[in-house]
Amino acid sequence: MITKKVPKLLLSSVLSTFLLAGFSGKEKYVELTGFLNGRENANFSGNANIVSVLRKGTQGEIIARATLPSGNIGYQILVTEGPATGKFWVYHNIKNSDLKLYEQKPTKQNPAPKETTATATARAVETVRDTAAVPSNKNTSAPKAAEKKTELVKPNDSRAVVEAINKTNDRVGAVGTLCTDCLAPRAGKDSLLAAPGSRRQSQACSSFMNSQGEIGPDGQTVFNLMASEPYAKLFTAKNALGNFCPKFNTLNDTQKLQAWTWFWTSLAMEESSCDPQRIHGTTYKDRNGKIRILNPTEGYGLWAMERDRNRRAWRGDACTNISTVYGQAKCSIDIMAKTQLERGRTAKVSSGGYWGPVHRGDSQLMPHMKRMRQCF
Amino acid sequence: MLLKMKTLMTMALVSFSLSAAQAASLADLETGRYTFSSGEKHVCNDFTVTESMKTAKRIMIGGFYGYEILKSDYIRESDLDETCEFHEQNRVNTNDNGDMVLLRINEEFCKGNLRSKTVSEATIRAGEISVRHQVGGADYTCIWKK
Repeated sequence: MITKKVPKLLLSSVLSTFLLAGFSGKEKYVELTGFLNGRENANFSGNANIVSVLRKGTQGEIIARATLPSGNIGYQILVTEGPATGKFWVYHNIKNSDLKLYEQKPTKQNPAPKETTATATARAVETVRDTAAVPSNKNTSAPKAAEKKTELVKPNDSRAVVEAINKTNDRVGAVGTLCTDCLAPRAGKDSLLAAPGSRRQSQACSSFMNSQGEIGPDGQTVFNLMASEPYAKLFTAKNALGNFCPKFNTLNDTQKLQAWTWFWTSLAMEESSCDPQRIHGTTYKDRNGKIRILNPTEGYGLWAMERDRNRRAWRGDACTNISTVYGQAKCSIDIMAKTQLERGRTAKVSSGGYWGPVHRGDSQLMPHMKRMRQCF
Repeated sequence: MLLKMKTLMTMALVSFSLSAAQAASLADLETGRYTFSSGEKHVCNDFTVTESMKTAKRIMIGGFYGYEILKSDYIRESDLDETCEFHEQNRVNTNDNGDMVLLRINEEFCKGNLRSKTVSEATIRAGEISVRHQVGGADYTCIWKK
């Protein structure tokens, strides 16, 4: 018993000393102007610890800092405003940074303080480009660094901080009434979804929205993308979901994007059983063994985007990389925006759209969509 | 390092091909609505030829079939498998009847081996557009008439 306790105590003392040794006490704030993975710890080598994708404009109080073996930095931030709230670790590559660093915290008087490149004296950071964020449990590349050293930061002046953060969030926010509790479970009659009918969903779809209507991490990614510019206005516009959600115009923006999140979940179910690595073939053999055409182009992933990178090149930057759920969501949301919503069409089209299940909406998607209580 | 050289070579190839490309013209293309006449109906959507398509560098026919109206070659590394790359050729030809023929070939190579190939050929005549599409062992046509 003693032999077990002594190493624990020793380890605890050493760790405490080690963790506090590098604490500068100066870093206090972060601001993200691009999408970043929010992780539950400072291990940036895998995807399993990603709990949310933080959207542009998210600000938070820095509560810890980790110096990684590569020399790069991980910041733990406390986010109190926006669609994803809580504590998250975000990655800062000092040589090829996604963040701007600030010498001073943002205040009412000085919401955009002077930039600095010195991470040790930085008091606030801001991302300067979108980062290819990946969801949990997907095999994709990520910065190869492991947790090494954590420096705790004393929270002080927290009220002024939160106030400044909230004000800036208000300024950059795309949609006025985004949910702050998307991940909260809603049981029974408060659930977003009614009981499944004839068409059930794959277990894998729970990462988007489970059968209790609880939005999962991939669903939050989809939600956040639709809430960002330039999509927010299109996806919350009048009748955007068409007949898939008859009460759409009575919903607030958060509810509208929840309904849309269920739409993408349902479409992923019909296209791929929510498998982000599904290959959608081009042909099949009929009963007589004759090869018949199924799709003119091989598809890939949750929403059957073109697998051949050349064949989707004309779609632009949004579809450059579909190797992650984030990339697939971005490409699909962009296709929906450009081929339907920007042209004054709704989600429900019988021809000219990208997705077959959308064309066959009444038989394929409607049984799912009718479960969304706030739509019917 | 090898990857960087490969990327540079890819960029060089694309740049060279595009700079050497000569844009063709679809000035004789008849505008209006083209409706399915024969072929595999579920992959042959009706479509409209607009005035702007006559000067476009890229057109989409029947919902699925896109062609560049110039000679071009592309090689892009796969975003899904680092051992694979996608090749594409676009060509503009004229057949024996004097009809414009747009050709597009897409191939995927993995570790130097051909994994898949698609050949798509659109023939443009007065009042009629047809596509012959070969993919995954299937070979079918779509014919639309104005």
